[in-house]
Order: sequence, then structure tokens, then C-alpha cells
Amino acid sequence: MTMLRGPYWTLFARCLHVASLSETTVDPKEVITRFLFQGSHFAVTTGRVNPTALMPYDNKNSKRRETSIIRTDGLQDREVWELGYQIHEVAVTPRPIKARAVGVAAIVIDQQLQFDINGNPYPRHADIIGWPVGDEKHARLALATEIANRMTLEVDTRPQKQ
Amino acid sequence: MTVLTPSVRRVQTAAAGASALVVARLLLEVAVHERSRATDWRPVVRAAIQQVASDCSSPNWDGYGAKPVSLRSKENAQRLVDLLPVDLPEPQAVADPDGHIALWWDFGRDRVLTISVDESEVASYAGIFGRDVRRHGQEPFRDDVARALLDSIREVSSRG
Repeated sequence: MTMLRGPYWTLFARCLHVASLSETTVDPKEVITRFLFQGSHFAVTTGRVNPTALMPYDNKNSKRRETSIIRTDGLQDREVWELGYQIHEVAVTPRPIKARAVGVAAIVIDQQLQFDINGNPYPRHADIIGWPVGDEKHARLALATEIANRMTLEVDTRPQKQ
Repeated sequence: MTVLTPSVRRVQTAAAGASALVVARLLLEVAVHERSRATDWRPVVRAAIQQVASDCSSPNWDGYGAKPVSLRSKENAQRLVDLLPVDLPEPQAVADPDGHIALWWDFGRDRVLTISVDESEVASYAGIFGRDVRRHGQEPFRDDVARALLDSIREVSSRG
């Protein structure tokens, strides 16, 4: 990610440090996060994550469906948020984070889905892959429902910008 | 145990003997009264769909490459809402990353149902109806809502 090779790289080197994480497998006990940008993707009052927030993106380049997540083991809570701010709000997309879905990797692995540890577009990044292909959207929705059902919601406590 | 099964909902008490029927009838009256008090949430959800569609009308609205919500999906979702009986619980309108609109009923862990509406009058759904009950599939809709969808909505909201 070329945009991270400026001052952000130094500033967030610690957050991005991945020496403690396996480069080949995601341990079922590892904590993963998906940042949420759309208010309808979660319910603050119930602390629940909407399944559509976990639905995979149809990546035309890789020709597969994938859901982007961040591996956050070894980071303090504040560092996870900072990582998200810099990656999503400054470096890549000027889109304010509203919340994040948090869970352990086992939630994904239990659905027979896999992680692609690609470190792209930034270290600690991985994609959830292995989603059902074709027109069977309901099958993907069922898996996303299982994952969302077991994730917890953490809402960004910063004053919301308009 | 006395059970009455009215058209509104199942009424059940643990009472036994002569008083059981009285108790069950009283509960039935409560259920009927509840239904009559139900406000029509459909205009509210229609407006929510409109808002979500507006919020998600640009590409990448979710930060992960989502497609913009299509006009057709929005209209179909609103039509589906119009076809739902008003005594069902109110759903939340949600944008789907593939450009569709979904309706979400969430009653806590293991009690969740999502119905996603596409451009071609097909509704994909997936739900968890208690710890060991899962169901998903797709149903066409045009002038009415498939029984499977209605039953799923009732089931997810009724399981305690």
C-alpha cells in the first residue's frame, strides 16, 4: 500500500507489526475485527451486528468472493481503533468508521470458511474466503448470519462527523 | 394444559382444570387486543428503505467495494414491505453490499432473520431460529409473500 509508506508507516509501525502472528494460518483463538461504516449494519441498542456487514465482496481481480478483516491479536483496544482510522479514514478511503465487529477466528473457521493471509493492502489484513459461488446468495447469507450472530459490536465513541 | 390456537397466535397456559379455559380465553383476548393495537409500521420501514438507499447510492459505500443500491431493489423491497401483514414485528432496513436492500429481524443471539431483495423479485433469506434451527433459501414474490418467508418471520419473533 503505497499510501501507507509516508509518515503513517512510521507512526503505525507498531500497530501493523505482525511478528507475533502466523504467516500461514489464523489460529482459531485469534481475535479479528471488521470495521463498519454504514449505520444500518449494526444496532447500537442491542449491540448486534447485521449479517450483511459480513457478506463477501465480489473481487473481480481475484475472481473470488472475500470479506476483509484485520487480525488484531497483540494490539490494545485503542491501537485497533487507531489502526482503523489510519487505514480506512486517512490512507485509503475518507470514510468515517462507525463501529467494528469483533470475534474470534473460530467463528469463521466453524463455517468451513478459510482465511487468506495476504497482508494486502496492509499487514494484519486477511480475507475470509471459500464462500459459496454462483447465484446461491442465501447460502452466503446463511454463513454471514452465523458469523454475525457470534460477533460482538464495539461502537466508535468519537463524536460523529457529518 | 389448555391450548387455544387462534388465528392471531398460539395461546398457552400451564393452568389445569375448570379455570384453565377461562385463563386461556383471557390470554386470547389479550392477544387479539395486542393485534388491534398494532400500529402500521410499514410506512416507517418504507421511509427507512428510502433513506438507506439514498445513503448507499454511491459505489463503495461500505468501504469494501459495495455496489450502489439499485432503484429496482429499493422499489422491490418497499413492495415487499407493503405485502407484509402489519401484525408481524417491524424489521430494520439494511443495505446489502451487492446493491440490494435487506430486511433484518433481530431478537438477540440465535434469533435472527434477514431477507434480502434483489432486482428480479427474488427474496433470499437466512435465519437462526433458536440454537439448533437454521433455515435459508430463496423465494419469488410478486403479488404476495411466500409462506416460507411469513412463517420464518413469525418463528424468529416467537421463539423465546
